[in-house]
Amino acid sequence: MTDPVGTPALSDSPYGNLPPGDPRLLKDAPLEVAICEVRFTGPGNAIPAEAVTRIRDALASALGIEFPNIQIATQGTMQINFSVGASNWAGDQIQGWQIASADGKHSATIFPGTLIWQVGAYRRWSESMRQPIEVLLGALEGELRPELVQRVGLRYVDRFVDPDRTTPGSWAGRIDSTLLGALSNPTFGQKVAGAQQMIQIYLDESRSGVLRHGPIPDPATGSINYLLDLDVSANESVAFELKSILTTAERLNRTSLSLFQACVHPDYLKTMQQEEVDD
Amino acid sequence: MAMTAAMPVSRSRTPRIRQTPVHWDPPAPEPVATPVGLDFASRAFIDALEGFNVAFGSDWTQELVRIVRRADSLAPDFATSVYIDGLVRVVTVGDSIDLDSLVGGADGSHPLRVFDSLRSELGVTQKDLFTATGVKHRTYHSWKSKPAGSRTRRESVGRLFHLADSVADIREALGNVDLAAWLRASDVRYEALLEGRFDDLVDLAWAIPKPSGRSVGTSSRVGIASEVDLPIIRSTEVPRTSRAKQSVHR
Repeated sequence: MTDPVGTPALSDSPYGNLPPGDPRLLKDAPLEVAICEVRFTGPGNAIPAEAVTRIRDALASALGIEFPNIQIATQGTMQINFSVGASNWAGDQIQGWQIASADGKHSATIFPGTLIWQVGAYRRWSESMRQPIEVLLGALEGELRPELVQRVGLRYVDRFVDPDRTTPGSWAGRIDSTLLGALSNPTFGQKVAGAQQMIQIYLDESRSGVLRHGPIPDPATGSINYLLDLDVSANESVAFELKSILTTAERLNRTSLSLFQACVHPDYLKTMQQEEVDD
Repeated sequence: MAMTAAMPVSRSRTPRIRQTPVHWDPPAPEPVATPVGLDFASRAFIDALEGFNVAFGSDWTQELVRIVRRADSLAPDFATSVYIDGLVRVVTVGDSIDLDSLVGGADGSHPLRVFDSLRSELGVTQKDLFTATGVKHRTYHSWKSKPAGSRTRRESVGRLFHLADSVADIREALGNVDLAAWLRASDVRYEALLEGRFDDLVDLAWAIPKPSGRSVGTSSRVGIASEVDLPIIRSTEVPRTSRAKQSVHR
């Protein structure tokens, strides 16, 4: 594995003093979906339709992707209580918009306090995430005048698929042994039919990660997939400043990369890597 | 209005009893998840992700769920929570929204179907089920006469869905036991049903002793170290040894 050249700048380094990841892109990457969420507060309320079409046009122009679909989206927040005789709920609703490409692989969901960018055809950080997030946040800054950022979250969900993996234990040598845990048990490891684990990772006072992972049956092929769901976030209230948000998101990306590579067996990772470097 | 509700999931796991320590520090807040949209995801991916949601199901009493729904979607768009649990109502975009009047079963069933299904499974008379659930006789017949898909007022279903939820817990506790026979085998159980004490019924299924001073109709958590085998002695039931179990109902 080639080490990254030089020492990464602070803005390019993972949180939590994690080691920098190998920036080489993966061929046949197992990534199913990548999502970035930014939550913010400000005086803006409803987003008018004209504004969302302007945002859509800016996005399409920057990415070279058509976004023919704009739909109203309603976010209902419901708190459900089953502890008393009958269920009851309390909740509220806010209205926003969803801008989506024709194939649904790229979508932006915008509420007065939230931006969610989701990509199902991820190529590289700069192109698939950073650029659209920058366009969207820049547009929202003009329309809504947000004042504070409350949370920046980045989630990568990888699904490793190999038709030859027909038992959970057969992922040994591909997924790092520290994650496989009980699958390696000499007594019952081969008898394990399923296993899921959720790990909370402390990076620093305001940044953390959640790793969910485990073998998952794939009924279509009769094989066992392996799911690696990595969600890292910065949860602190800071002034809404575009460059700062992008730096946070980028460092979360580097953090995710470091964690992802720590989850995969080094030899297996090598087989997936190509020479081209992510940026 | 086309409605979809997430299924409450019956998990095959031994519940655990939480013990509140003497010096109690508030638990660390649950991590907030970055939402993931499933609208255009493959079936295999959706199944895989929702399998994880089942595995990491919550046993919190209350849970905040955020769902975004598109009019042309057949599945919830986003799930903010790491897990989804309990009865959930998904609102369809584009319809006039009156959440207060929305009720539905775990699988989107009309209360009529839930009522009839419970009656069949529990082997009780219609009259007894009216008593247990607080559903009025005339309400039931109005359901039968209304067209399919019509809305039902939340107040009219009484404790029906609480019972449905409890029956799911009881089923999990008892496994393949005939629920009707189990219910009939003990006056204590049948009385709990008729009196609407569904939490007590669930406790009976899990064979958890009732703490003194507990008010009727509510369940509480009993502190026992989870790793300790102990005999659970009940006044009327056959004693059996089991691992500490959680008071199931939330």
